Amino acid sequence: MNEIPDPLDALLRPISPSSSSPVWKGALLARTSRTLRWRRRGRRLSIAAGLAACYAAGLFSMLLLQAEPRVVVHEKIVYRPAETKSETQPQRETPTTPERPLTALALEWQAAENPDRSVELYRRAGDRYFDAENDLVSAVRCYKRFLSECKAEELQIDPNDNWLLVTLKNARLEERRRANTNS
Amino acid sequence: MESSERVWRERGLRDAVLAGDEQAWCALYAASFDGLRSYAQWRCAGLSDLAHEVVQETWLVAVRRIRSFAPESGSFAGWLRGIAANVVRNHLRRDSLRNGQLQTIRNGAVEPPDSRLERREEAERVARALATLPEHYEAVLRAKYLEGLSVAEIAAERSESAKAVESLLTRARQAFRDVYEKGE
Repeated sequence: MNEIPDPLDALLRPISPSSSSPVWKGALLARTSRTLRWRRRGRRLSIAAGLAACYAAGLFSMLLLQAEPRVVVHEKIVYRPAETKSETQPQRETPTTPERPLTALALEWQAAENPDRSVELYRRAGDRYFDAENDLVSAVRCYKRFLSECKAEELQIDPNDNWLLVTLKNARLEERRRANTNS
Repeated sequence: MESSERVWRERGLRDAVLAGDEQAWCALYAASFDGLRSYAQWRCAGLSDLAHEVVQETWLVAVRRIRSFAPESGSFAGWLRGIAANVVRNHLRRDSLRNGQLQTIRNGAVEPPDSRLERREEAERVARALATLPEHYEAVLRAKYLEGLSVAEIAAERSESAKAVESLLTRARQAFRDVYEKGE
C-alpha cells in the first residue's frame, strides 16, 4: 500500500528516550508503592477505628443502662386483722382470694368465734346483710347482737346508720329508758 | 480470546492492588513503564524533562485512582495513556514550559543556546498541537508514528478498511498541521 509522504512526518516521529531504564524508575516505583502501603494502613486503621467505635458505643450503652434509676418499691404495711381459723371449722375462704370482701355470713361466723371483736363484726355483718344481700331478717339478728353487746355511746344515733339500725337503736333506747323508770 | 485473557489478568492484578498487594503493583508497573515513557516522550515531542514529569505524575495519579480502572473498557496501558494525555494538557495549560528552568536535550546532543531555544519552541508547538487533537486522530497518529504500524496493520487492529484508515490518517495529519501552523 502506497502511503503519501508528509513533510510533517518528521515532527511526529518519536524520539527515543535517552536511556532504556532511567535511574528514577526504581525511585518512582518505591514512591507509588509507598502510597499503596499508606492506603492499606489507612484502610486497616479505619477498620480498627470502626471496631473501636462500636466497642465504645456498646460500653456507653451499658453505662447508660446501669445508670438508669431502679424502681424502688415502698412497701406500706397496712394492718389487717388476721383471720383466725378454727381447726374444727372448715375453711370457708380460699387463700387465693384474700382481697374479696367477706360475706355477711362469714362476718357473723367470725363474730361468733371472736368475742373480743364481736361488737364490730356483728355490726359489719348486719350492714352487709342489709346493704349487699337485702336479707333483713339476718340483718336484724346481727344488729340485735351488736346492740346487746355494744357500749352505751354506740347506741346513739349516727348519721351513717341505716333506717333499720336507727329503728332498732331507738327501740333499744326506749327499752332501757323504761327499765330505768321501772327500777 | 486474547482480550478476555488480558481482562482476566488485569482485573486480578487490579483487585490485588486494591487489596494492598505491592507485588501486583510491581507487575503492572514493570509491564507498562516503558510503553508509557515512550508515549509521554512522543506526546511531549521529545521534551525529556516534561516527559519525565508526565510519567511521574501519571504513575502517581494511577496508583491513587486504580479503583477507577475498568479492564473491560480497555487495557491498563490505554488507561495510563489517557491519564498521561490529561497530564500533558494540564502541563501545557499551566504554561510551565516557559519558565526557562527546563533543559531541552534532543537525541542527547548539546546544542548552542539559540538553536536549543528554537527547537524547544518547536517541540512545544508539536506537543500543544497533539494535545488539542481529538482522541481518534491522536490514536491513529500514535499507531502510525509511535507504534510504527502500517496502514494495513492499523486497519486490522481497528477492524476497518485500509482506505478508511488512510482517510482518517490524512484527516488527522491535516488537523495536526492546522493546529501546528496556527501556533506559529
